[in-house]
Amino acid sequence: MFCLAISILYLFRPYQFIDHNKTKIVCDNNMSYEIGPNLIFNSSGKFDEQEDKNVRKLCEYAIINDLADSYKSPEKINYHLMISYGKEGSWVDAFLISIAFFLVGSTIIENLLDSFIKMKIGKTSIIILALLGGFLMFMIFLKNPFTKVYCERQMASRINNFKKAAYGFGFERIAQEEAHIKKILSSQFKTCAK
Amino acid sequence: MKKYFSSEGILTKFVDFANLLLVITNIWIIVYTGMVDFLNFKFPPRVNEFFYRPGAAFPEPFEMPLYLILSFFLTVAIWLLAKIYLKKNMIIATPLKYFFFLILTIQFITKLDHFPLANELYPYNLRPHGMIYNIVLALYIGTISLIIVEFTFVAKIFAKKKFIIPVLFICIGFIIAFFTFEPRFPISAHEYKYFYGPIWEVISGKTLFTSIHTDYGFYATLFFALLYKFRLFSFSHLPIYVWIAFIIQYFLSFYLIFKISRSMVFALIGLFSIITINYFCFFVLPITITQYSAMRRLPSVLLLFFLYKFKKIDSRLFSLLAITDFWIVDTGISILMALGLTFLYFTFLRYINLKKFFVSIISLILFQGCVFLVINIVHLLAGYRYINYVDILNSLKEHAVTGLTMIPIESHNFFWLVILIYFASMLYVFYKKGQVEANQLIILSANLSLFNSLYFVGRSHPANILDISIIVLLNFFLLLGDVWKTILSMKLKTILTLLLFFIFIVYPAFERRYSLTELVAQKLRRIEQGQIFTLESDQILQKQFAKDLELISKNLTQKEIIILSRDETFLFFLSGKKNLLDVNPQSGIDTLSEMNFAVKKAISVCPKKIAVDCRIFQKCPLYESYSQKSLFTAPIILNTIEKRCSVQYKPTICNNHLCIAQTE
Repeated sequence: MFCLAISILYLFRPYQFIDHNKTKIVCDNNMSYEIGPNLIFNSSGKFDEQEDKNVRKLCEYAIINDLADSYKSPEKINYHLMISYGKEGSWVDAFLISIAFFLVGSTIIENLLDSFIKMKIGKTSIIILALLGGFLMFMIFLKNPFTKVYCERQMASRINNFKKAAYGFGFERIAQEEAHIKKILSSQFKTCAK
Repeated sequence: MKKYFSSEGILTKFVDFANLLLVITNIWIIVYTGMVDFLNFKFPPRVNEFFYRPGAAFPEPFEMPLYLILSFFLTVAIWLLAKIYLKKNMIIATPLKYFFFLILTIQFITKLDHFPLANELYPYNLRPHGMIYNIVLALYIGTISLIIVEFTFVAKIFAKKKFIIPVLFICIGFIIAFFTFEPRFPISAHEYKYFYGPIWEVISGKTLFTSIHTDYGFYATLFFALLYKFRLFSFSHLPIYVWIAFIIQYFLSFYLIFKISRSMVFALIGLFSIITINYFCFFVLPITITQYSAMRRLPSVLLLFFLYKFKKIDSRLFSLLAITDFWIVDTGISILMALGLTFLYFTFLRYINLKKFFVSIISLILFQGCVFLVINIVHLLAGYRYINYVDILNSLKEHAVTGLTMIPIESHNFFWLVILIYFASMLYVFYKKGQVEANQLIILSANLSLFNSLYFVGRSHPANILDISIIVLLNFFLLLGDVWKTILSMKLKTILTLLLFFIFIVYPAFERRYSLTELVAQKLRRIEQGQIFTLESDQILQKQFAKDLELISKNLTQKEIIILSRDETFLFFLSGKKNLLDVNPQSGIDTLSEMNFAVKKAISVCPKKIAVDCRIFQKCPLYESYSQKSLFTAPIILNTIEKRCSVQYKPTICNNHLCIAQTE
């Protein structure tokens, strides 16, 4: 139970992500645009080549979605990014869910084991053994899979935040953006999971 | 003061309850928001249907199922843990309890968003003299306070007189009628079309679901169509029925809260909380939107009333009355599911045994099946086709599965209070050994709140919290009402009364003071116009469509015709013509399959002459349709008919709204 409780604490620890509703591109011509509603995805604070091109066009011509590349992208950077972060979860939440899981699980096990095993070992010794054993089991068996899930949670928050911000464009349009976003996210996932 | 905070004190007992409640609710929120995000990422939903307005579809395959599954499993966990923890005495130091309470409360509050539509002006403009909002707010609060104080005093002074309660009930009925009365009975043309359309089609001989779709009314549509056939209903009367539904809904809510709490002041605070949040916090006059609140939620409130009257949920008479559920399609399904879940929880609580559980479920299904069968027999005898009940699920599929008009839920949400109240109800009944009757009402109201809230979970617009608020608040006040009657201290009752008044009446009214002011202003404007009991829509319809009706009657002499216009619903029932298309209103066409269904009969006939909105042929200047908000699908339908009939319609005669178009 300690092992699983530590895993859950690890899984639900907080992280932040770029909020596509509030993060703004501020153009040199003093116009500003929220990135999500303008179908611009950013999860690392820097734009990749394609998104940088889209942002330059947005600032220069006030257009988005230039799939045919009809407009020439300005040569110089004509914007700066004002990042606003959203936060997913908190340490209190992570401890709450971890402790609740531990208490409920151990109560159930205790009730089951009460009938079958009468241990003569002292309670303090059991707690210490359980703590150490649980921590070791987590580090050996569960850290990697839970890291993977934790990183996937982060990717989920980023893409879902973008989808909700860009919702006005409907689902089909967002699905077209997904192909581009997935490439960005898969490299970020690898960095997170290391 | 010390006794309240001692380990056996009332406040400490409340903190014990609140700590467990906040743990469960916080865990629900953390797991739900985390899993929805995660599942949407791992299994991204796809739209497999063609939508004419692709921006309107946002599939949410996980939100509603996860909401139900998580709520169910945590309730089962509460039940299982109640068995374990009631046997044990968990001794935690009292100061530590208060510390946990503080932390858990802060954590919960950080997950909440502001009050729905707080400080929003839409669709109104800010008045130049801002003081007016505060004046109206003060007058509103003052009026309610006066009513509550007066009625409480009268009830107390004449407590021993048997006649006083019925008299007060009648007065309260009139007060509710006054608060919800809208002079001249205005309507929102776009919203009322979704009832008028199916009603007219049924009157014209079509069968619901089989021949014509309906997004909302089922029994409601059949009821009004039947009244029309007996000349007891005219279309302009519908807002009166909506108003009556509001009065009944609010009165029954007050009645139930009063009966459970046995307190006039508590029941009145409950009533005015409901009226303030459910009625005056909405951004337009609620009566102008047929499917808002009363028409949708009244069956749920009625169900609670029946349960209170019949005392036993497994009584056959109660199951029989439960079949009034399908007044509106989606609430019928919510009610059936709420009842099923309530029977299950009653089995957990041993109010009914397992045998009675199965018998109750089977009885409910059989009664429902019998009602559906009787409706079909009456249909066949009256010359209609039988209703294909499977088609009821089509509308749900379109919205709930393919995601039409769905809005994703935000992780910071005022809605989490609904979850809090739900688990408070579950904790209360599973841990408390008390009156079965009150517990039955609390559980059923909680489950009705759970399933009615699916409407918000799917379409998470803040205004929809106000729509479901009637059931949620009723759940809350029934729960608190059961506690209220056990409180002996007058001091504590007074403090709680003031707190409830402030939190549930003053606070929402303040947050929505702009809309409150505008709704009151609209009432006053209409009173000024005079003839407050006339039906505004009658005059508007005559004025708006007189020339169009003349054009149609002179040029389209067939019984069944096609009218392609935003206002076709009104033109059909005013002209008395039957609709050659199997859709009404036309703005309800969203998908290719709906278009195919709608034009099937029309393309087999391929009429020579049809009526078409003149703007399509650019034969008139732009004008504002009566149902301007409706989606303009007429061009798409015209294009479809022309392609499939291989014809081209050309305009021959036009007025300012319509053209009569003929094939070449």
